[in-house]
Amino acid sequence: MEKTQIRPQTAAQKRQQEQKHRALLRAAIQAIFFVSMPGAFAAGFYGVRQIFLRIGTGSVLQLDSFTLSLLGLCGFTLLTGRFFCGYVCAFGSLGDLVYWISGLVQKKLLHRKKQFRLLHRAVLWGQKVKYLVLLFIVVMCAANQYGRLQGTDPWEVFSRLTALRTPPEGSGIGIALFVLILIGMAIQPRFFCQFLCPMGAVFALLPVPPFAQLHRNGENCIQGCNACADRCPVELKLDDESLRGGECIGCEACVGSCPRSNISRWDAASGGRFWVPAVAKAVLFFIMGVCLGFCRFF
Amino acid sequence: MKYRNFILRAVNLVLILGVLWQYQNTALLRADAVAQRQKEIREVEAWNASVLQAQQEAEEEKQAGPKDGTYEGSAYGFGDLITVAVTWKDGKMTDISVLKADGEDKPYYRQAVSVLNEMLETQSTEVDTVSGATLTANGLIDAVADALRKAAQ
Repeated sequence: MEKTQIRPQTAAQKRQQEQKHRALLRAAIQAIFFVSMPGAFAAGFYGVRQIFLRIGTGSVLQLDSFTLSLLGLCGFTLLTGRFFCGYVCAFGSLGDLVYWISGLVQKKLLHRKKQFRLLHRAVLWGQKVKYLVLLFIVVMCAANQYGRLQGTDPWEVFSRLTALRTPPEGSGIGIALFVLILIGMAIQPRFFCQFLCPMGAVFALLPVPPFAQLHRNGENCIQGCNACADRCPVELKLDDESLRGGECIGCEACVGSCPRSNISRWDAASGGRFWVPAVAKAVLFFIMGVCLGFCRFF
Repeated sequence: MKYRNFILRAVNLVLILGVLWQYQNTALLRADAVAQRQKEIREVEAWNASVLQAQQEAEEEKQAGPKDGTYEGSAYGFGDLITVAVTWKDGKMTDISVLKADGEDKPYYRQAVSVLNEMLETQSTEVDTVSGATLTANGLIDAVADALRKAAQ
């Protein structure tokens, strides 16, 4: 008679498994929000646009539904870091999906060992471009010239596609930009989010309180280890001193990859149940989203 | 300093909010002044109009518009067909109600419904669309125009 013994998992195996579970959980939350609230990010940014359009015409600012969406998203980000970017935003999820598919193609069809990525230095420069995009749109609004940008908005094209309708007429530039962005998404993780997203620029400038951010206990790090930064879609090595801290989209890919579990947040310390904080935040956002009218179904 | 980043960003945010607050106060003052002036203009215009109307009524007879009743019309908005019902009474649009607008995203829809009041006030479909919710607003305007077209037949 043979006795089958289940060998206890090594620490590395455990970590690998948890990393897999984290990725699956995140993908599931992203899928739910992609289907139910694909318009949330645009509604939030149109709040910024609305404020500066009003300033452009010299009229009184109002708490309309776009401005409320903006306040809701910013308030949520102040409480939970950029959880919205990492788990909820439909455009971010689209970026993750496109990069994942591109990785599959590169590995299975082109037999490349490593997925293509831009140079680190180019990424650092690229991440500043989104502030220029934000500045440009704000100035165009405040100078009453926004009408000239009609049909150039790639988000409008995307939102029409999520509504299963063709993009409106005269948005040729918008479609072209959308296609370019899709290509970009295939060569760099979170291409749009880190390089171009004006809403991401707003979030990156928000004073997210230290308790809501991920921290790395640098003293405990292995010399020369770069596991977290290699995993990070925005190529961040968490450092409280760095001004680039605002780039963190809270995807927590680094948390599971650290060989010494050095990266944590107050709410990530809940024992083995890594899924509790993520699910709690997702439920919280879902309730807020329903109240703000983001949900397609309620 | 440990919290340098946070403090920097917090000061930044407070500054932006302060500027917006200042702007809002100025804009409110201005809006009040404009409203006051418009009220004066309207009073003068109302008086002029009453004189003109008295003259006109003496000259011409009333033209018959569509019959009283409720007319339905529809047009494509952002996501799908929008259907509205326009109530016509004594030669005027008295009410517009939206029967169906399932295809519209709610934040955009709430923004766009303001065109309904505008159309009732001006008694016309020649109103400005709502920026940011153009497709939904145009859908509502076209649906009302469609209803009026049916009413005129």
